[in-house]
Amino acid sequence: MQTKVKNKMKELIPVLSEKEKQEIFAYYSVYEKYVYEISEKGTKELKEHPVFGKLISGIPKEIAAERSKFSRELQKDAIINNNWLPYIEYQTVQGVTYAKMGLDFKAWYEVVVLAKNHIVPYLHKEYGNGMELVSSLTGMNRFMDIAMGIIGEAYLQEKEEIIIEDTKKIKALNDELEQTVKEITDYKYALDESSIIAITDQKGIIKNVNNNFCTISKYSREELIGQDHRIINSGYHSKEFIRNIWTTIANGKIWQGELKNKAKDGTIYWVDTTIVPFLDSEHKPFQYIAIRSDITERKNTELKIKKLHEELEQKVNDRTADLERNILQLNEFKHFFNNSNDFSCIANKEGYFEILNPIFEKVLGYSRNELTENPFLDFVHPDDIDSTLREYEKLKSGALVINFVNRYRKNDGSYLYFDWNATPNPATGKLYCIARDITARKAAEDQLLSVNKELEAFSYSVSHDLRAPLRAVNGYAQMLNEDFGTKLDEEGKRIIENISYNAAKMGTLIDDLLTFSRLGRKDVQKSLIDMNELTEGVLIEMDKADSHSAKINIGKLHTVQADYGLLNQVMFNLISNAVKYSSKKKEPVVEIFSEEKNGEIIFSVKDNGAGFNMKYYDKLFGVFQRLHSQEEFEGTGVGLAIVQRIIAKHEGRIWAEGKVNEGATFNFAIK
Amino acid sequence: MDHEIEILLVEDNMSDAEMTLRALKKNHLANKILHLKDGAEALDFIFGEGDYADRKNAQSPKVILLDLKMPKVNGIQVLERLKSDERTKKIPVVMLTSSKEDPDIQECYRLGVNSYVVKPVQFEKFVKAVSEVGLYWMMLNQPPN
Repeated sequence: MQTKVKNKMKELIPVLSEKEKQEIFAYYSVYEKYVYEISEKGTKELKEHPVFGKLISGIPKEIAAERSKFSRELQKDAIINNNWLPYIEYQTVQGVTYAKMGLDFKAWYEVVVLAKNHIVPYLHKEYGNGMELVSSLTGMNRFMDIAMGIIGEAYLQEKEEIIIEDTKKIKALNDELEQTVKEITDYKYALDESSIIAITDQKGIIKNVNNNFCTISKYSREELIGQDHRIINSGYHSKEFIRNIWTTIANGKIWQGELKNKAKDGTIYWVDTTIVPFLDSEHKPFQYIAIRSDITERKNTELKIKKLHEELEQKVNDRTADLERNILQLNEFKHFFNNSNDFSCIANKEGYFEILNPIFEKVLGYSRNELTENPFLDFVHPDDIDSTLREYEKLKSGALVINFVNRYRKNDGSYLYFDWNATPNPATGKLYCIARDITARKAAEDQLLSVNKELEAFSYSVSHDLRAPLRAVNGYAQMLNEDFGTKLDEEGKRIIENISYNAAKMGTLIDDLLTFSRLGRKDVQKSLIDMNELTEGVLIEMDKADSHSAKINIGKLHTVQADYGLLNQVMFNLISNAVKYSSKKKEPVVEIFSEEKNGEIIFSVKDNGAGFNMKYYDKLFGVFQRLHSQEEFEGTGVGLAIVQRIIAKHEGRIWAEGKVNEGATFNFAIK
Repeated sequence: MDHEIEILLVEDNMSDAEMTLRALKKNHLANKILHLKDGAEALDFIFGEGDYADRKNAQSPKVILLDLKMPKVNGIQVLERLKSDERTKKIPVVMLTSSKEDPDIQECYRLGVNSYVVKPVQFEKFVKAVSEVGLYWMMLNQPPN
């Protein structure tokens, strides 16, 4: 019981006059007399009362009777003995109980009125209609007022307590609610600020969007509301993908994923999306909230990484393909290497072979180990070691070796001539060498050399030995003339002259032939030649040998790069030919001139002499070929052959034009 | 061989030898001439060896006319021997030869020949050449003492 109520109990003790006490007693004595009947009727009525019926139905009969008896005793003590406090205490408990039960005070008052109505017939019966009845009724009302006052006071007190308590509770709840609302508002604000939010109805029509949605989609709120999400569809996702979203959320499940959207201006953006369906009481979605965050940058980075990845993969693939091609190529090279008839090898700077192709073993007859475990100089001919070392040093210093020839010893002791081409790799110090077996060629060359030597010896013999008998023929013919000339007639002398003439002629032939054959062996040694100076020299030389009457005109001649001695011979032969073949003309004229044409310098010697028939042009430059008889013009038929050979040695061209009796022009061109 | 030899002709070709002697004779130089037929005999004669051992300290000839191409010991070998020996290197040696070959001429000069004359095929020219050579070395040239 509340302390406040307890303190108030004493104040509730009624102050009664004697008259009031007698009146209450008049009522009580009747009540006590008929108490069982009255309470039986009262209990029956209570059971039927809509509020109290429920309250008392759960209380067992014995306990209810006990309580009733206890209550009557306290009542009797208060009225008869004027001991009110225990009764007040009991009644207060009753009031507080009713208040706590939430009973309506009015309902309880109704019960008291019921109780009065039950008692009144018994008062009538006892007191009749006189003054005693009035007095007992006044007593009954007075007592009922006291009892009601006590319960009412306790009820009110308790009710007040409860209201205070409830107000406190409501306030606390209100505070809590306020706090929650504030938190939710904060969350909403934070969400609104951080996310892109759209709310749609169950059909997907946009009902609301936040500012972020407008910013990223570049549509205004007005443009968006009433539309569905197709307005920002980029067309990137498949129909099946979109269908899956709808299936998920229409079934009340949350969908989460990444979407590619298109803004009003066509720009593309990526959003991480969570769609939350809001369900009605039948668990059907009535709206959806889509919460998105902009992941365009991340997505772009991802795409970039993906692209880089793909590029990398492509590169790896390319590289692999390259590698495979290279391996294929390498295998082909290897095939070349292994099957080449050239000797290919890689040597190191320490003087050993490292890699050799199989032909080394096959041809030289050594095992691979023998070839790689011994310095390669061990296989070189002793006479070639110095030159080989020189080339080897050259290679090591980074220079190329081209067509260096040395000899390699075979397993059987014989030697092969190798013609080497080699290139160094300065980075690794490795030497890449290819040799060709030129033993056969070398033999042929040696043979050619010996043939040449023989030819030289032959020429020498011709020069030396053929002249001697000629000299003898000539000499004895002369001696015959000197010693026995007086005894010979004219015919005898003519015969001796013919012997001498022919011997001399043969001498010239031999000389020309030797000159011609020597040309084959002679090297061209070029220098810059002043052709005017050379030609003047030739004319002086010619004047010494024979006299002539030709008028020789020399133009301004070009300088030329050529062999002086050989070109001197050319000019001598051409000019002396021109002089010879024009010697029978009345006014023989020889013209010498030159011109530069198409990068060549063309020299020409022109005469107005006998000329020649172009029909026989092919015989003009042949050895011992002549277009005129000895009677017409003397000659051996070697001069032009010599000229042609010299020009050929200079890699030039020679040609001639002529017409019988109208002269000839001989031209040669040198670059 | 008692009289002093002034001209030594070394020549294996008898025709050439005859013509040479004839040319020299015309110039009255033939009486002090000796003709030997090969290089070996010539060396024996000059160094007083073999058949010529008695000529050990005899006077050297004033000039040697030497053919190039000879059997046994050829002209170049004779020349080399003469020019490499202190006793004989001062003797004038004239090559009289048919060879116009450049290497022969080069080699002879390298070995120290005093003159190199190519024998002309024509008889007149030959006679003229031999006469001039003979006269030059016999009359004009002043040998060292």
